[in-house]
Parts: sequence; structure tokens; C-alpha cells
Amino acid sequence: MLKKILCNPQALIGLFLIAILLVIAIFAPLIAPHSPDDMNPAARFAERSAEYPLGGDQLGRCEFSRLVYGARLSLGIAIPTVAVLTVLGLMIGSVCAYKGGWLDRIFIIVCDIFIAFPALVIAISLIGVLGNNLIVVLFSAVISLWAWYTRMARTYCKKEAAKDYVLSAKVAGASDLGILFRHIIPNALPQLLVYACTGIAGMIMMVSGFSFLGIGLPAGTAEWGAMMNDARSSLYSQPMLIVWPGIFVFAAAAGFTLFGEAMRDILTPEDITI
Amino acid sequence: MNELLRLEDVHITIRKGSVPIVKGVSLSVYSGKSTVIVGESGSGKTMLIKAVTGILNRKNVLVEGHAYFGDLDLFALSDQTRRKYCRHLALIMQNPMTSFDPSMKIGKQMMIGTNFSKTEAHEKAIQALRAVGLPRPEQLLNSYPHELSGGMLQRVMVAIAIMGKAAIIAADEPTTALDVVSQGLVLDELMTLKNRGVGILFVTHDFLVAKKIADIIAVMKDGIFVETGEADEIFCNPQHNYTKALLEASILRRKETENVNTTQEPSAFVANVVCRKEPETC
Repeated sequence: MLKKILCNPQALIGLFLIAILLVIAIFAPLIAPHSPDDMNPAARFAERSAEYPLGGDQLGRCEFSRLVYGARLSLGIAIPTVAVLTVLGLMIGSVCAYKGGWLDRIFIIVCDIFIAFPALVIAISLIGVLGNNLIVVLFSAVISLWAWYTRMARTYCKKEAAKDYVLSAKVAGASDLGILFRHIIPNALPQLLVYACTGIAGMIMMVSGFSFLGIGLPAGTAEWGAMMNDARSSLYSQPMLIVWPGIFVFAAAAGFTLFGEAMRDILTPEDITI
Repeated sequence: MNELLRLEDVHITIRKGSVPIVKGVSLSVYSGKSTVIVGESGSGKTMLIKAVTGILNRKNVLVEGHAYFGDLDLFALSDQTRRKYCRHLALIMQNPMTSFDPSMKIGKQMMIGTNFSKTEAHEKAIQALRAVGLPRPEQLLNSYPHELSGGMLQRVMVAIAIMGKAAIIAADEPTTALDVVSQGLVLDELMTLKNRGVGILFVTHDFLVAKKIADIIAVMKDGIFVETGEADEIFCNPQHNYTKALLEASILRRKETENVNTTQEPSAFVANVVCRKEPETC
């Protein structure tokens, strides 16, 4: 498995980008020269210097430190949320696909109802009711996206459940639970994992998008999307302030997408071309 | 001659629109004998075998009649209780390439449904793979299905049946997706098993395949058996017009293929492929 990843350039590039971001997120206090919230009026729109590697922002905070701490927030929100979504989707989706019947139909209708509302609408209404904080952002992301993951997982599981080896296992006397956990889920998981990896990229952009619109995280939080929003006011005089967070969002999205695509090739054994 | 399975007046109906598929058939499977159901596509032979092996979705399909396995009526059991008896009744499917879980190693798949300990199961699996003439069984256990050819997979399926000590092997056109050489090998394995006392229920559309393996033949058309009897009887003296037509068609096809074959060199290649010894010693 590790060998296969190391032999796949696409996976390597993706993994490299993810690893850099993870290291930045984990060792943020060591890497960042300043606290992300430290305001120094003298450093307002400061030029790049040894003390402020990427200059200062509109409030005199260190741009580089804010980007570094922003990695913590972005990855810290996106990865656990997508993990929860994937597990939830796989649980509901696989049972629906395998059992079929009225259970399946009910869940499909419920999913359709949730999919009909844009994520932003659900997030705005939830945040409006529950207030502006991190947990609510996570919660609204799960509420607005679970139906997508469930439908995706259901489709993949349904495809697997129709295959002959499920019949073979039944004839051999395997239990329903055994078939679900040992055959259907392992075969559907690689495909869903690709969706989840690209989903992480989407989630980072969604959270950034929320912050950019001023919903989600409290004002002044060092988050990439929020930073881009703040930099809008000085777009023409200080364009780099909006470019830097953009580069980070791009790197994170590209990293997870590339890695996800490569993982699909790696995790699906029969796709190896001889 | 010991009767293993007795089907009595089996009706299979699709619930939606109440479409009758099998309309009252009776058949027996004996130990050490092979019972072959021959019929064209859509005659209901696969449905019958699926009903016997218990993989029909009973919500959509209505199965009536009796399938006595010993004193037990398989059709009267619930799906849950049925699974306990599954190991006595193995199924070999039409397409070996899709009958194995692509993400699971062969060794692990052979253990499904067994309750042997790990070392015991490993030993039994190797024995079974040897018995069906597959080379390097240890290596096979550690490979994924896509690394094997169709013929090999089909023989692994037979090995699984041996391993579970199945009393009856139900085979649903097991040779249709295979080339002639692999067909021969799979049929040979089934013959060997038959000689050991296993009962074989074989479904095919091809009279030539039936001829190789059959002791008893049932000719199926539109959900009923138009003719049932000893294989020799049916081949030499078919009574029903449909049987005659099927036989003629098969013989005609055989002549065609033989004509093609005579233009080719008798190949040493076939001999090589059929050789059963370990490659090192061959």
C-alpha cells in the first residue's frame, strides 16, 4: 500500500501538499513569528521584512502568522467534518442499498429534500438561530451535506450489492451483517474515499466561503476565507493580502483532490492494468 | 443410489404482474449422479437453481412446492435458518470473474461461512485447491481474484464446494463463460466429484456439455420439463420434438466447429495448458 503510494506521482504530489499543510497546522506556534491576533499599528500594511515575512494586514497583524494559524482552523474543521459525513453516509447508505424496500425509499425522499436546499441556505438559517461559532458551522456543514454523502454511498453500495459475489457469499452462508461489512462496504469504500477527499477540498472552500460572507466564524478569526474577505477593502492597494490566503486554499484543495484521485487507483485492485 | 434432493411440483412466479416462470416441475438429485437441466434462454432453469440454492428475493418472487433435502423442506425454511444448511449445497455460477469479491484475497473468500480455525481452514483450503488441480495453492490463497484466469477461478469455486463438504453442487452454466480448454477442466473436476458421491445439479443450454456430464437429463421449455430420463435414452431416442430440435441444433454446431478445427494444426499448445503437473516438474 505504502509502496503503491510512493510509486504514484499524483499521490505523492497530493500527499506532499497535505503533509506541508499538516506540519504547518501542527507546529503553528513554532513557525509563526507572532500571535495571529497581535495588533501592531506600526505594522499596518507593512512591507515584507524579516519580522513580518509576508507583511502586515490592514490592522497591523502579521499576515504570515495568520495564514499559519489559519491552516489549523481550515484543516481542523474540514477533516473531522468529512470523516463524520463519510461514516454517516456509509452507514445509512449501505443499509439502504442492501435492505432496499420502504426503508430505502424513505431515506431517498429525505435525502432529496435535503439536497434541494443549497448548503448556504441551511447554514445561514442554522447560524441565524444558533449563533456564530465553530460548532454551529460544523453542525450546519453536516446537516447540509449528509444527504449528498448518503446518496453517493448508497449508489456505490447498490452497485456492489447487485454483483454475483454477494450471491456467492449468501449461498456460502454468510450473514447479512457479514456481507455488509466484509464485502459491500470494503468495495464501496475506495470510491467513496475519492469523493471524501475531494469533499475535504470542497469543505475548506465552503468554510472559507462562509467566512468570506461574514457568517460562520466570529469576526477577526484567522481563517483563510475570512482573511480574503477582510483584504477585499484594500484590494487595489494591497492585492497580495487576498492572493496569499487564496494560494493556501488552492494548495489545500489541490492536495486533497490529487490525493483522492490517486487513492482511487491505488485502492481498487482490479483496476491495475497489465 | 441415494436420493439427496427431491423437487416436487415447484412453481416459481414473479409477484409483480404474477408472471409464471416455472410451472410445476419435479426432479431428483442422487448422490454420485449428475442431473442436467437443458433448455434455451428464458426457460426458467436459472430461476429453478436459484430457488433451490435460496438466493431468490422472496419479496419479489413466489416459490411454491417442495424441495426435500433429506426430511427437510428447503422452501419451508426462513432465510435465516436456511443459511445453516447452505454449506451442504454449493453453487457454481456462470461468470467466475464477477463471482469473487475483488477486494478480498482468495484465501479469505474460501473461509466465508466456515467455522474452522485459521490453521485448519488454511490446510483444508490447500487440500481442496490441490484436489481441483490448481498449481501452487499457497500462492493462490494470497492472490486477488483479478490475478487469476476465468478457468482458474471457476475451479477455485469448485474447490470451495469441496472444502465445505457439499453434498450437492448446483452449477448454473459454469462453462458458458469459459474457453474450451477451461471448460474441459471444470467438467473433469465435476466428474471427479461425482465419482466421489457428490450429487450434481447442472444447468446448461448446450447439449454437448450435457452429453459429457449427464446421467439424468431434464429438458426444460417455458417452465416445464418436456422430457426427463436417463441421458443415453434421451440422446439416442428423444421423444419430444423440442428435444429433437435442440439435439439437432447442437450436433449441427458441433459439425461446424469441427470443420473449422480440421483446418487448424492439432496444437501442442492445448496439451501444455491441460498438463496438470506443477510447472517446475512439467
